[in-house]
Amino acid sequence: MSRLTRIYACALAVGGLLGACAIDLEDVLLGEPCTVAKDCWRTQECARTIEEAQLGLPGTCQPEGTGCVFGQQLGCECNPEDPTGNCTFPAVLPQLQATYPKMECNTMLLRCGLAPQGGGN
Amino acid sequence: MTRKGRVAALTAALTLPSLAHAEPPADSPAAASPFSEDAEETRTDILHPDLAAEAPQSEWIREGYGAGKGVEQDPRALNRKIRRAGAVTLAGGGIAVLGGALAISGVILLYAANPARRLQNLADDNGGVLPTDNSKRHSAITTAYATPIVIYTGLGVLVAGVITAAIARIRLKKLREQRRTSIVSVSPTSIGHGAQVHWEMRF
Repeated sequence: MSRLTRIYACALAVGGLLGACAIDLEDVLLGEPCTVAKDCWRTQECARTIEEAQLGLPGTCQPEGTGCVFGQQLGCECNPEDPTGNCTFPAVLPQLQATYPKMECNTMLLRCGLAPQGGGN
Repeated sequence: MTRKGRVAALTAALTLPSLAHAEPPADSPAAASPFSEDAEETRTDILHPDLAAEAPQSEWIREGYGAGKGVEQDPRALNRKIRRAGAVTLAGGGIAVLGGALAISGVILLYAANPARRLQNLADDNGGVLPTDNSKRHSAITTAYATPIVIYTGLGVLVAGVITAAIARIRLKKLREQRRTSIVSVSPTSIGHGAQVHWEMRF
């Protein structure tokens, strides 16, 4: 193997390694608030329900196909028996949980709705 | 009459009878072309043509018994091919260098404009969460998309250049070797008690 070929092979290997370390912001953007699809990574979608949009609340960046986070987003399906899906914990970052309205699981519709003022969690 | 005059007169006297009896050349095709087939048939020095036809025909032997081979390819065309192969090698090397530069630029962009760090800074400035529908956020995400494209494009160009240069280099070496062995032909030969060198060069 000539010297030139060795140089090319090394350059190729280094480039390949660096290319393999391409940026993936999926974890960085997961759960971040969003209002448009461009706010999220290409493998994610901005999960924002109609109810959230009506109240001017941001959605969250979630993996594609999520639609909305079960039992954790206003207007999303829920299960009152499921501790993680009974609308108690909103699917937003801890910094935004204080500003997110209180929710409760509507036992008739099985959807997260606004908790009555002065009640709920 | 001098001695020279006497010799001239004697020569004329001796040659006159033969000149007087000389016949004009025959008009037959065999006489016109001594190498034609008819002429071969009418040769008189072959007593037994059937035996002569069976006689082995010796191969052509070069004068001096040299073994120089003829030119199989036009040296000028070979030189043109060599020049072209050299140019392709250089072009391939240039393409490879460009590709490498592009790939390195992508890597520099990756580290200089680190999108993850930019997003982190943006979140820190906004109370720990990223602002929605923000141009800086979109810019960082777009940079993160574009950087691998630049790197992989550069790598692709680099690979293409390396392959082009390698193939052209192999071809160039082959052509140079071909020119070295075909244009100059040296063949030492021994003749009896001596020896000779058959040197053949073509331009």
